Amino acid sequence: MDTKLLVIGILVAFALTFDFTNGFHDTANAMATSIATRALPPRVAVILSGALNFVGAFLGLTVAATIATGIVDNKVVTTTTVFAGLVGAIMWNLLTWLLGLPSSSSHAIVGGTVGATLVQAGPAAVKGSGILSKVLVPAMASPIIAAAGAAIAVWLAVRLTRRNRSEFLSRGYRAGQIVSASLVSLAHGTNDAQKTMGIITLALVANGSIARSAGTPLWVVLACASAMGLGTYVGGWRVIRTLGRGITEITPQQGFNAETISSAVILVASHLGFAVSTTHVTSGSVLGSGLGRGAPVRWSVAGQMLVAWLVTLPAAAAFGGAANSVARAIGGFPGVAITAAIALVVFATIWALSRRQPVSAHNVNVPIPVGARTALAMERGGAAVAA
Amino acid sequence: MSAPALGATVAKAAAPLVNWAGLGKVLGLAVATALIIGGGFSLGLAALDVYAQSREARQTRPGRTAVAAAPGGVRHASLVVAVVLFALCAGAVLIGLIEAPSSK
Repeated sequence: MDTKLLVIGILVAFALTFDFTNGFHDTANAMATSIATRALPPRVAVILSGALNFVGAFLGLTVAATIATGIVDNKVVTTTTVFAGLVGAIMWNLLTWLLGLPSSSSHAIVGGTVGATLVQAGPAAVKGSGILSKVLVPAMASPIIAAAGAAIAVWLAVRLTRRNRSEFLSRGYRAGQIVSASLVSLAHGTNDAQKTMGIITLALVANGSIARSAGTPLWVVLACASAMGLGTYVGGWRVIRTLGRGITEITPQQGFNAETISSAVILVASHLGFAVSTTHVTSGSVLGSGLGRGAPVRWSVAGQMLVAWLVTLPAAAAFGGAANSVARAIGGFPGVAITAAIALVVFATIWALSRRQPVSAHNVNVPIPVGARTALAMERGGAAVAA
Repeated sequence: MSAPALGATVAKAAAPLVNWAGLGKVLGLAVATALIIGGGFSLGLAALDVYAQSREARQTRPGRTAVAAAPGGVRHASLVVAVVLFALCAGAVLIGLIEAPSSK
Protein backbone atom coordinates (compact mmCIF):
# COMPACT_ATOMS: atom_id res chain seq x y z
CA MET A 1 0.00 0.00 0.00
CA ASP A 2 1.13 3.57 -0.69
CA THR A 3 2.85 4.88 2.48
CA LYS A 4 1.48 8.38 1.84
CA LEU A 5 -2.00 6.95 2.13
CA LEU A 6 -1.05 5.17 5.37
CA VAL A 7 0.22 8.44 6.82
CA ILE A 8 -3.05 10.15 5.87
CA GLY A 9 -4.94 7.27 7.47
CA ILE A 10 -3.01 7.66 10.76
CA LEU A 11 -3.49 11.41 10.62
CA VAL A 12 -7.25 11.17 10.10
CA ALA A 13 -7.44 8.63 12.97
CA PHE A 14 -5.58 11.05 15.27
CA ALA A 15 -7.72 13.96 14.08
CA LEU A 16 -10.87 12.05 14.97
CA THR A 17 -9.29 11.04 18.30
CA PHE A 18 -8.69 14.73 18.94
CA ASP A 19 -12.32 15.45 18.09
CA PHE A 20 -13.38 12.69 20.48
CA THR A 21 -11.25 14.15 23.30
CA ASN A 22 -12.57 17.59 22.45
CA GLY A 23 -16.13 16.30 22.78
CA PHE A 24 -15.62 14.55 26.07
CA HIS A 25 -13.41 17.32 27.47
CA ASP A 26 -16.01 19.92 26.55
CA THR A 27 -19.25 18.14 27.53
CA ALA A 28 -18.84 20.19 30.68
CA ASN A 29 -19.28 23.41 28.74
CA ALA A 30 -22.84 22.56 27.86
CA MET A 31 -24.03 20.31 30.59
CA ALA A 32 -22.04 20.97 33.79
CA THR A 33 -24.45 23.55 35.18
CA SER A 34 -27.55 21.51 34.25
CA ILE A 35 -26.08 18.45 35.95
CA ALA A 36 -25.03 20.49 39.00
CA THR A 37 -28.51 21.98 39.42
CA ARG A 38 -30.11 18.58 38.66
CA ALA A 39 -32.07 20.08 35.78
CA LEU A 40 -31.09 16.95 33.86
CA PRO A 41 -29.94 13.52 35.04
CA PRO A 42 -26.22 13.10 34.12
CA ARG A 43 -26.74 10.33 31.54
CA VAL A 44 -29.64 12.10 29.83
CA ALA A 45 -27.55 15.29 29.73
CA VAL A 46 -24.64 13.69 27.87
CA ILE A 47 -26.92 11.85 25.41
CA LEU A 48 -28.75 15.11 24.59
CA SER A 49 -25.47 17.00 24.32
CA GLY A 50 -23.90 14.35 22.06
CA ALA A 51 -26.85 14.42 19.67
CA LEU A 52 -26.91 18.23 19.49
CA ASN A 53 -23.15 18.44 18.98
CA PHE A 54 -23.59 16.11 16.00
CA VAL A 55 -26.30 18.34 14.53
CA GLY A 56 -24.36 21.54 15.28
CA ALA A 57 -21.36 20.33 13.28
CA PHE A 58 -23.38 20.70 10.08
CA LEU A 59 -24.48 24.28 10.69
CA GLY A 60 -21.57 26.27 9.24
CA LEU A 61 -17.94 26.14 8.16
CA THR A 62 -16.58 29.63 8.87
CA VAL A 63 -14.37 28.49 11.76
CA ALA A 64 -13.03 25.52 9.75
CA ALA A 65 -11.79 28.02 7.20
CA THR A 66 -10.10 30.08 9.94
CA ILE A 67 -8.17 27.06 11.25
CA ALA A 68 -7.29 25.76 7.79
CA THR A 69 -5.99 29.02 6.39
CA GLY A 70 -5.46 31.61 9.11
CA ILE A 71 -2.88 30.15 11.52
CA VAL A 72 0.08 28.79 9.58
CA ASP A 73 1.30 29.01 6.00
CA ASN A 74 -0.29 25.88 4.54
CA LYS A 75 2.22 25.85 1.65
CA VAL A 76 4.96 24.60 4.00
CA VAL A 77 2.79 22.31 6.08
CA THR A 78 3.16 18.58 5.48
CA THR A 79 0.97 15.73 6.67
CA THR A 80 3.62 14.94 9.30
CA THR A 81 3.35 18.50 10.62
CA VAL A 82 -0.41 18.25 10.96
CA PHE A 83 -0.12 14.83 12.61
CA ALA A 84 2.43 16.13 15.15
CA GLY A 85 0.19 19.09 15.93
CA LEU A 86 -2.65 16.70 16.69
CA VAL A 87 -0.44 14.61 18.99
CA GLY A 88 0.43 17.77 20.95
CA ALA A 89 -3.22 18.82 21.21
CA ILE A 90 -4.49 15.40 22.33
CA MET A 91 -1.68 15.16 24.89
CA TRP A 92 -2.67 18.51 26.43
CA ASN A 93 -6.39 17.68 26.34
CA LEU A 94 -5.79 14.41 28.19
CA LEU A 95 -3.46 15.97 30.77
CA THR A 96 -5.92 18.73 31.63
CA TRP A 97 -8.78 16.22 31.69
CA LEU A 98 -6.77 14.12 34.18
CA LEU A 99 -6.46 17.20 36.41
CA GLY A 100 -10.13 18.09 35.85
CA LEU A 101 -9.20 21.46 34.35
CA PRO A 102 -11.50 22.93 31.70
CA SER A 103 -8.77 24.16 29.35
CA SER A 104 -9.34 25.08 25.72
CA SER A 105 -9.23 22.37 23.06
CA SER A 106 -9.16 25.16 20.48
CA HIS A 107 -5.97 26.60 21.90
CA ALA A 108 -4.52 23.11 22.18
CA ILE A 109 -5.00 22.43 18.48
CA VAL A 110 -3.70 25.86 17.49
CA GLY A 111 -0.69 25.45 19.83
CA GLY A 112 0.08 21.93 18.62
CA THR A 113 -0.08 23.01 14.99
CA VAL A 114 2.07 26.09 15.60
CA GLY A 115 4.70 24.07 17.52
CA ALA A 116 4.92 21.42 14.82
CA THR A 117 5.13 24.09 12.11
CA LEU A 118 7.91 25.92 13.96
CA VAL A 119 9.97 22.71 13.96
CA GLN A 120 9.06 22.10 10.31
CA ALA A 121 9.74 25.47 8.73
CA GLY A 122 10.69 28.04 11.36
CA PRO A 123 8.88 31.17 12.61
CA ALA A 124 8.29 32.60 9.12
CA ALA A 125 5.68 29.90 8.45
CA VAL A 126 3.56 30.94 11.42
CA LYS A 127 1.02 33.67 10.74
CA GLY A 128 1.49 35.74 13.89
CA SER A 129 -1.10 38.30 12.86
CA GLY A 130 -3.66 35.56 12.17
CA ILE A 131 -3.07 33.96 15.57
CA LEU A 132 -3.32 37.32 17.29
CA SER A 133 -6.44 38.58 15.55
CA LYS A 134 -8.38 35.35 15.04
CA VAL A 135 -7.39 33.38 18.14
CA LEU A 136 -5.61 35.23 20.95
CA VAL A 137 -7.65 38.43 21.12
CA PRO A 138 -11.03 36.63 20.88
CA ALA A 139 -9.75 34.12 23.46
CA MET A 140 -8.92 36.89 25.91
CA ALA A 141 -12.02 38.94 25.16
CA SER A 142 -14.64 36.18 25.00
CA PRO A 143 -14.58 35.07 28.68
CA ILE A 144 -14.70 38.70 29.80
CA ILE A 145 -17.67 39.38 27.50
CA ALA A 146 -19.40 36.19 28.66
CA ALA A 147 -18.76 36.99 32.34
CA ALA A 148 -20.14 40.51 31.89
CA GLY A 149 -23.23 39.25 30.05
CA ALA A 150 -23.93 36.53 32.63
CA ALA A 151 -23.37 38.92 35.54
CA ILE A 152 -25.86 41.41 34.04
CA ALA A 153 -28.40 38.64 33.33
CA VAL A 154 -28.19 37.14 36.84
CA TRP A 155 -28.16 40.54 38.55
CA LEU A 156 -31.31 41.46 36.61
CA ALA A 157 -32.95 38.07 37.25
CA VAL A 158 -32.33 38.27 41.01
CA ARG A 159 -33.96 41.69 41.16
CA LEU A 160 -36.91 40.83 38.93
CA THR A 161 -37.80 37.72 40.92
CA ARG A 162 -36.96 38.66 44.53
CA ARG A 163 -40.64 38.66 45.58
CA ASN A 164 -41.39 35.27 44.07
CA ARG A 165 -41.26 31.80 45.59
CA SER A 166 -37.81 30.29 45.21
CA GLU A 167 -39.12 26.73 44.74
CA PHE A 168 -41.39 27.83 41.90
CA LEU A 169 -38.55 29.78 40.28
CA SER A 170 -36.15 26.84 40.60
CA ARG A 171 -38.59 24.58 38.78
CA GLY A 172 -39.03 27.16 36.02
CA TYR A 173 -35.32 27.81 35.58
CA ARG A 174 -34.58 24.07 35.56
CA ALA A 175 -37.06 23.67 32.70
CA GLY A 176 -35.39 26.61 30.94
CA GLN A 177 -31.99 25.01 31.45
CA ILE A 178 -32.98 22.06 29.25
CA VAL A 179 -33.31 24.51 26.35
CA SER A 180 -30.33 26.71 27.27
CA ALA A 181 -27.97 23.73 27.77
CA SER A 182 -29.14 22.31 24.44
CA LEU A 183 -28.28 25.62 22.80
CA VAL A 184 -24.74 25.48 24.20
CA SER A 185 -24.32 21.93 22.85
CA LEU A 186 -25.52 23.06 19.44
CA ALA A 187 -23.20 26.06 19.54
CA HIS A 188 -20.31 23.84 20.61
CA GLY A 189 -20.94 21.58 17.62
CA THR A 190 -20.95 24.53 15.21
CA ASN A 191 -17.70 25.90 16.65
CA ASP A 192 -15.52 23.01 17.81
CA ALA A 193 -16.23 20.18 15.36
CA GLN A 194 -15.24 22.58 12.62
CA LYS A 195 -11.74 22.98 13.99
CA THR A 196 -10.94 19.33 13.33
CA MET A 197 -12.59 19.61 9.94
CA GLY A 198 -10.18 22.45 9.24
CA ILE A 199 -7.21 20.35 10.36
CA ILE A 200 -8.15 17.37 8.18
CA THR A 201 -8.79 19.70 5.25
CA LEU A 202 -5.33 21.21 5.82
CA ALA A 203 -3.78 17.72 5.72
CA LEU A 204 -5.68 16.74 2.57
CA VAL A 205 -4.47 19.94 0.89
CA ALA A 206 -0.90 19.27 2.08
CA ASN A 207 -1.10 15.74 0.64
CA GLY A 208 -2.49 16.97 -2.66
CA SER A 209 -5.69 14.97 -2.15
CA ILE A 210 -7.84 18.07 -2.68
CA ALA A 211 -7.19 21.47 -4.28
CA ARG A 212 -6.12 24.42 -2.11
CA SER A 213 -9.33 26.22 -3.00
CA ALA A 214 -11.55 23.21 -2.28
CA GLY A 215 -14.02 23.30 0.58
CA THR A 216 -14.35 20.77 3.39
CA PRO A 217 -15.41 17.37 1.94
CA LEU A 218 -18.72 15.94 3.20
CA TRP A 219 -17.13 12.76 4.60
CA VAL A 220 -14.88 14.94 6.78
CA VAL A 221 -17.92 16.79 8.14
CA LEU A 222 -19.72 13.50 8.85
CA ALA A 223 -16.72 11.83 10.52
CA CYS A 224 -15.95 14.85 12.71
CA ALA A 225 -19.57 15.29 13.75
CA SER A 226 -19.72 11.60 14.75
CA ALA A 227 -16.45 11.67 16.72
CA MET A 228 -17.49 14.84 18.54
CA GLY A 229 -20.95 13.45 19.34
CA LEU A 230 -19.50 10.17 20.61
CA GLY A 231 -16.89 11.93 22.77
CA THR A 232 -19.59 14.14 24.26
CA TYR A 233 -21.75 11.11 25.02
CA VAL A 234 -18.88 9.39 26.88
CA GLY A 235 -18.73 12.52 29.05
CA GLY A 236 -15.67 14.05 30.66
CA TRP A 237 -16.98 13.80 34.21
CA ARG A 238 -13.80 15.23 35.77
CA VAL A 239 -14.17 18.54 33.93
CA ILE A 240 -17.97 18.54 34.42
CA ARG A 241 -17.34 18.36 38.17
CA THR A 242 -14.92 21.29 38.15
CA LEU A 243 -17.13 23.53 36.06
CA GLY A 244 -20.41 22.52 37.70
CA ARG A 245 -19.33 22.49 41.34
CA GLY A 246 -15.76 23.76 41.54
CA ILE A 247 -15.98 27.45 40.66
CA THR A 248 -19.12 28.44 42.52
CA GLU A 249 -22.28 26.78 43.82
CA ILE A 250 -24.72 27.17 40.98
CA THR A 251 -28.45 27.74 41.35
CA PRO A 252 -30.84 26.94 38.46
CA GLN A 253 -31.25 30.71 37.96
CA GLN A 254 -27.49 31.11 37.45
CA GLY A 255 -27.25 27.98 35.31
CA PHE A 256 -29.97 29.13 32.92
CA ASN A 257 -28.47 32.59 32.49
CA ALA A 258 -24.87 31.35 32.18
CA GLU A 259 -25.83 28.83 29.51
CA THR A 260 -27.95 31.34 27.57
CA ILE A 261 -25.14 33.89 27.47
CA SER A 262 -22.57 31.21 26.54
CA SER A 263 -24.58 30.02 23.58
CA ALA A 264 -25.14 33.59 22.35
CA VAL A 265 -21.42 34.45 22.54
CA ILE A 266 -20.31 31.18 20.88
CA LEU A 267 -22.88 31.39 18.07
CA VAL A 268 -22.11 35.03 17.25
CA ALA A 269 -18.35 34.44 17.43
CA SER A 270 -18.65 31.39 15.14
CA HIS A 271 -20.69 33.46 12.71
CA LEU A 272 -17.88 36.03 12.57
CA GLY A 273 -15.17 33.37 12.09
CA PHE A 274 -13.54 33.85 15.52
CA ALA A 275 -12.12 30.55 16.79
CA VAL A 276 -13.26 31.21 20.36
CA SER A 277 -12.85 28.60 23.05
CA THR A 278 -16.21 27.35 24.29
CA THR A 279 -14.38 26.42 27.50
CA HIS A 280 -13.30 30.02 28.08
CA VAL A 281 -16.76 31.33 27.25
CA THR A 282 -18.65 28.96 29.54
CA SER A 283 -16.13 29.34 32.37
CA GLY A 284 -16.49 33.12 32.05
CA SER A 285 -20.29 32.81 32.13
CA VAL A 286 -20.27 30.57 35.21
CA LEU A 287 -17.90 32.96 37.00
CA GLY A 288 -20.00 35.97 35.94
CA SER A 289 -23.20 34.29 37.11
CA GLY A 290 -21.63 33.79 40.54
CA LEU A 291 -20.56 37.42 40.71
CA GLY A 292 -24.00 38.60 39.55
CA ARG A 293 -25.67 36.78 42.46
CA GLY A 294 -22.98 37.79 44.94
CA ALA A 295 -22.20 34.09 45.53
CA PRO A 296 -18.79 33.04 46.84
CA VAL A 297 -16.33 32.07 44.09
CA ARG A 298 -13.65 29.41 44.70
CA TRP A 299 -10.75 31.54 43.49
CA SER A 300 -8.18 28.74 43.98
CA VAL A 301 -9.94 26.65 41.33
CA ALA A 302 -10.45 29.72 39.12
CA GLY A 303 -6.71 30.45 39.48
CA GLN A 304 -5.77 26.89 38.44
CA MET A 305 -7.98 27.27 35.39
CA LEU A 306 -6.40 30.60 34.48
CA VAL A 307 -2.91 29.10 34.70
CA ALA A 308 -4.03 26.18 32.49
CA TRP A 309 -5.43 28.68 29.96
CA LEU A 310 -2.18 30.65 29.86
CA VAL A 311 -0.05 27.52 29.55
CA THR A 312 -2.22 25.74 26.95
CA LEU A 313 -0.81 27.38 23.81
CA PRO A 314 2.91 27.02 24.69
CA ALA A 315 2.48 23.56 26.27
CA ALA A 316 0.59 22.13 23.30
CA ALA A 317 3.15 23.81 21.01
CA ALA A 318 5.97 22.11 22.94
CA PHE A 319 4.27 18.69 22.68
CA GLY A 320 3.54 19.26 18.98
CA GLY A 321 7.09 20.39 18.33
CA ALA A 322 8.52 17.37 20.19
CA ALA A 323 6.29 14.97 18.26
CA ASN A 324 7.38 16.52 14.95
CA SER A 325 11.04 16.35 15.98
CA VAL A 326 10.76 12.60 16.68
CA ALA A 327 8.83 11.95 13.47
CA ARG A 328 11.32 13.93 11.38
CA ALA A 329 14.36 12.39 13.06
CA ILE A 330 13.20 8.89 12.10
CA GLY A 331 11.73 10.09 8.83
CA GLY A 332 9.00 9.02 6.44
CA PHE A 333 6.26 6.58 7.31
CA PRO A 334 8.27 4.83 10.10
CA GLY A 335 8.69 8.21 11.80
CA VAL A 336 4.94 8.85 11.85
CA ALA A 337 4.13 5.25 12.87
CA ILE A 338 6.63 5.19 15.77
CA THR A 339 5.54 8.64 17.01
CA ALA A 340 1.93 7.44 16.87
CA ALA A 341 2.83 4.32 18.88
CA ILE A 342 4.67 6.36 21.55
CA ALA A 343 1.73 8.76 21.74
CA LEU A 344 -0.74 5.91 22.19
CA VAL A 345 1.32 4.52 25.09
CA VAL A 346 1.31 7.95 26.78
CA PHE A 347 -2.45 8.36 26.20
CA ALA A 348 -3.08 4.92 27.75
CA THR A 349 -0.90 5.82 30.76
CA ILE A 350 -2.90 9.01 31.36
CA TRP A 351 -6.12 7.00 31.14
CA ALA A 352 -4.75 4.46 33.64
CA LEU A 353 -3.76 7.27 36.05
CA SER A 354 -7.30 8.65 35.91
CA ARG A 355 -8.63 5.31 37.25
CA ARG A 356 -6.92 5.97 40.60
CA GLN A 357 -9.44 8.70 41.35
CA PRO A 358 -12.41 8.00 39.10
CA VAL A 359 -15.19 10.52 38.53
CA SER A 360 -18.36 9.26 36.88
CA ALA A 361 -22.05 9.97 36.49
CA HIS A 362 -22.51 8.41 39.94
CA ASN A 363 -20.24 10.71 41.96
CA VAL A 364 -19.99 13.86 39.81
CA ASN A 365 -22.28 15.79 42.18
CA VAL A 366 -20.69 14.71 45.49
CA PRO A 367 -19.96 17.94 47.45
CA ILE A 368 -16.43 19.34 47.53
CA PRO A 369 -14.96 19.39 51.07
CA VAL A 370 -14.47 22.79 52.66
CA GLY A 371 -10.94 24.08 52.05
CA ALA A 372 -10.20 21.61 49.21
CA ARG A 373 -7.70 22.97 46.71
CA THR A 374 -9.00 20.92 43.79
CA ALA A 375 -12.51 20.35 42.51
CA LEU A 376 -11.78 16.61 42.21
CA ALA A 377 -11.69 16.28 45.99
CA MET A 378 -14.84 14.64 47.37
CA GLU A 379 -16.52 14.52 50.74
CA ARG A 380 -16.38 11.11 52.41
CA GLY A 381 -19.19 8.95 51.13
CA GLY A 382 -18.38 9.81 47.48
CA ALA A 383 -17.03 7.06 45.25
CA ALA A 384 -13.55 8.52 45.54
CA VAL A 385 -11.86 10.58 48.21
CA ALA A 386 -8.98 12.84 47.32
CA ALA A 387 -5.97 13.18 49.56
CA MET B 1 10.27 47.35 29.97
CA SER B 2 7.57 47.49 32.66
CA ALA B 3 4.46 45.32 32.40
CA PRO B 4 2.05 48.22 31.67
CA ALA B 5 4.41 49.60 29.04
CA LEU B 6 4.76 46.16 27.46
CA GLY B 7 0.97 45.76 27.51
CA ALA B 8 0.52 49.14 25.86
CA THR B 9 3.09 48.26 23.17
CA VAL B 10 1.42 44.92 22.42
CA ALA B 11 -2.04 46.54 22.37
CA LYS B 12 -0.77 49.22 19.97
CA ALA B 13 0.75 46.60 17.67
CA ALA B 14 -2.37 44.44 17.83
CA ALA B 15 -4.90 47.23 17.36
CA PRO B 16 -4.88 47.37 13.54
CA LEU B 17 -5.06 43.57 13.30
CA VAL B 18 -8.04 43.07 15.56
CA ASN B 19 -11.59 42.97 14.28
CA TRP B 20 -12.88 45.45 16.86
CA ALA B 21 -16.23 45.79 15.12
CA GLY B 22 -16.69 42.03 15.37
CA LEU B 23 -15.81 41.97 19.05
CA GLY B 24 -18.18 44.89 19.60
CA LYS B 25 -20.95 42.88 17.93
CA VAL B 26 -20.28 39.91 20.21
CA LEU B 27 -20.40 42.18 23.29
CA GLY B 28 -23.57 43.91 22.06
CA LEU B 29 -25.30 40.60 21.39
CA ALA B 30 -24.24 39.24 24.80
CA VAL B 31 -25.73 42.25 26.60
CA ALA B 32 -28.86 42.11 24.42
CA THR B 33 -29.24 38.40 25.24
CA ALA B 34 -28.85 39.16 28.95
CA LEU B 35 -31.56 41.81 28.78
CA ILE B 36 -34.01 40.19 26.37
CA ILE B 37 -33.73 36.47 27.13
CA GLY B 38 -32.31 36.59 30.68
CA GLY B 39 -34.57 39.44 31.78
CA GLY B 40 -37.56 38.33 29.70
CA PHE B 41 -37.53 34.76 30.99
CA SER B 42 -37.13 35.89 34.61
CA LEU B 43 -39.93 38.42 34.36
CA GLY B 44 -42.06 35.78 32.64
CA LEU B 45 -41.42 33.35 35.50
CA ALA B 46 -42.23 36.05 38.04
CA ALA B 47 -45.51 36.77 36.28
CA LEU B 48 -46.32 33.07 36.05
CA ASP B 49 -45.67 32.72 39.78
CA VAL B 50 -48.14 35.54 40.51
CA TYR B 51 -50.69 33.73 38.36
CA ALA B 52 -50.00 30.36 40.01
CA GLN B 53 -50.18 31.80 43.54
CA SER B 54 -53.44 33.49 42.77
CA ARG B 55 -54.89 30.27 41.34
CA GLU B 56 -53.73 28.27 44.35
CA ALA B 57 -55.25 30.85 46.70
CA ARG B 58 -58.62 30.62 44.94
CA GLN B 59 -58.54 26.83 45.18
CA THR B 60 -57.56 26.71 48.88
CA ARG B 61 -60.09 24.66 50.80
CA PRO B 62 -61.74 25.95 53.99
CA GLY B 63 -59.65 25.34 57.09
CA ARG B 64 -56.36 25.69 55.22
CA THR B 65 -54.17 28.78 55.36
CA ALA B 66 -55.14 30.93 52.43
CA VAL B 67 -52.96 33.41 50.61
CA ALA B 68 -54.74 36.56 49.48
CA ALA B 69 -55.86 35.95 45.91
CA ALA B 70 -55.09 38.64 43.37
CA PRO B 71 -58.08 40.18 41.60
CA GLY B 72 -59.15 38.34 38.44
CA GLY B 73 -57.78 41.09 36.20
CA VAL B 74 -54.34 40.93 37.75
CA ARG B 75 -54.35 37.14 37.55
CA HIS B 76 -55.18 37.08 33.85
CA ALA B 77 -52.82 39.94 33.08
CA SER B 78 -50.00 38.00 34.77
CA LEU B 79 -50.67 34.99 32.57
CA VAL B 80 -50.72 37.13 29.43
CA VAL B 81 -47.46 38.86 30.42
CA ALA B 82 -45.81 35.47 31.09
CA VAL B 83 -46.95 34.01 27.76
CA VAL B 84 -45.83 37.11 25.82
CA LEU B 85 -42.41 37.15 27.51
CA PHE B 86 -41.81 33.42 26.99
CA ALA B 87 -42.83 33.87 23.33
CA LEU B 88 -40.38 36.78 23.06
CA CYS B 89 -37.58 34.56 24.44
CA ALA B 90 -38.47 31.72 22.06
CA GLY B 91 -38.54 34.15 19.15
CA ALA B 92 -35.15 35.59 20.08
CA VAL B 93 -33.65 32.08 20.30
CA LEU B 94 -35.12 31.10 16.92
CA ILE B 95 -33.80 34.26 15.26
CA GLY B 96 -30.38 33.59 16.78
CA LEU B 97 -30.36 30.01 15.53
CA ILE B 98 -31.41 31.01 12.03
CA GLU B 99 -29.08 34.00 11.72
CA ALA B 100 -25.92 32.97 13.56
CA PRO B 101 -24.82 29.75 11.82
CA SER B 102 -25.24 31.09 8.28
CA SER B 103 -21.84 31.93 6.82
CA LYS B 104 -20.63 35.51 6.51
